[in-house]
Amino acid sequence: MMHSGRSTSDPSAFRAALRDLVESAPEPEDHPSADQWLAYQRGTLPAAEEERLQEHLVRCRDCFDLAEGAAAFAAEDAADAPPRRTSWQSRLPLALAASLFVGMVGLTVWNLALQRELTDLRAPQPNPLIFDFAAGERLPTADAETVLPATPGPWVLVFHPASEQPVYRLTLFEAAGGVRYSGELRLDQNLTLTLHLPEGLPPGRYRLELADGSGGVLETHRVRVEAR
Amino acid sequence: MQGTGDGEDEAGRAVLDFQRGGDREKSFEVLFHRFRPRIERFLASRVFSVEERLDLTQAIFLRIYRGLEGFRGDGSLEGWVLQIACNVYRKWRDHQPGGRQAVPEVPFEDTDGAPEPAAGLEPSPSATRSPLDGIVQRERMAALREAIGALAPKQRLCMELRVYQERSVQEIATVLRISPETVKAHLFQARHRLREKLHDAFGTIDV
Repeated sequence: MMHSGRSTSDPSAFRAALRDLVESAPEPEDHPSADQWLAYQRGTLPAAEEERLQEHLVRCRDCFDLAEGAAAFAAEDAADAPPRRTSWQSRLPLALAASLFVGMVGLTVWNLALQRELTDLRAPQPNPLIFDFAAGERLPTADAETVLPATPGPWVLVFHPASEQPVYRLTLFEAAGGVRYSGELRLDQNLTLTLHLPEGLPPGRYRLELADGSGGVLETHRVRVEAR
Repeated sequence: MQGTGDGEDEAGRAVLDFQRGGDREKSFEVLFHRFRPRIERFLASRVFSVEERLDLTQAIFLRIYRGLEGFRGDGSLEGWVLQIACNVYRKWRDHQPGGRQAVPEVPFEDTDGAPEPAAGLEPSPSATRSPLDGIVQRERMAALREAIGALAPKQRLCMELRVYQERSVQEIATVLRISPETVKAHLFQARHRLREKLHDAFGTIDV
């Protein structure tokens, strides 16, 4: 290249040459209006028109000032804008809303659980079947057998012991000899002993032994549960 | 009458009321409240002194007050006020010592440490031109034209505004509606490309 070796170290040479180059282009005549610069700064002009206005800025100092002024005019008025909040202030409403939401969900779940429980309590309960086992003067004979229907529970077995003891032990034997229930019972205000069997008893033969506190058998009842 | 919102509509109505024989003071008050924040923003980045800003604000509104009869509604009221503000500011600026250079500028630091020359102080290469220099100069200008033309449009714009208009990075960013960092990036890229292509012709490219 011809200019090789003729370079200059003058840093202003490039600037001067670029100025000459810019000035060699025809001077713009149609200056955009203040309204056009406002529209430009608000971004409402087509892209081609924006490019034309930007090119115009290179040569025109007055329009540069106008474009800069339009930027100040187009910026949102600080007086119109809501005051800026600090970070914790801006997050506070969201945090409160989230807490309220979680609280409401928790209360709703709790309320539904309470309602379900109340509904269960209000639902009609099956009447327990009450079987009375008399004693005293009408002690059952050794082979006497009480027949009970195999209905679903709950069952209530009521005993009337002939002798008054401070505590009784009632044992329910299965036919095979296994103990299905064994527990201490005390007389209630009606001088009866009550055994609750929530599930009733399946069909089969059973033996009920009522003993005193020392284990002496006071009475024995044979029971046969029959399916119907 | 054009407008950009309810505030402009209200200000426009105030001017129309005045032109139809209404109270000048009342109409002016509406305009003052509407445009004062914008004019203060307009002056804030251009005039350092608070007293001078207040004086200029007063001068601008005085021109608006006196010119209310003359507003014909060819453009928007906002554009009319902007034009008045620019005219008053330019008149004030041109009367400052040093003219445009008296206006504070945001310095662009990435200039390889070289001080930025003041406008118009460099001798033009064409001032002392011999026949050989003329040939070389034409070649350099051709190389410059080609290198500038090869830049991306925004890089070229930033470079030309920086060199020809002698504007700060912040000013260029404002008029091009991009961030100052983007302007710096464009200038950096442009400088890099121009150095590659024009180092033989111009040596140091300091922008």
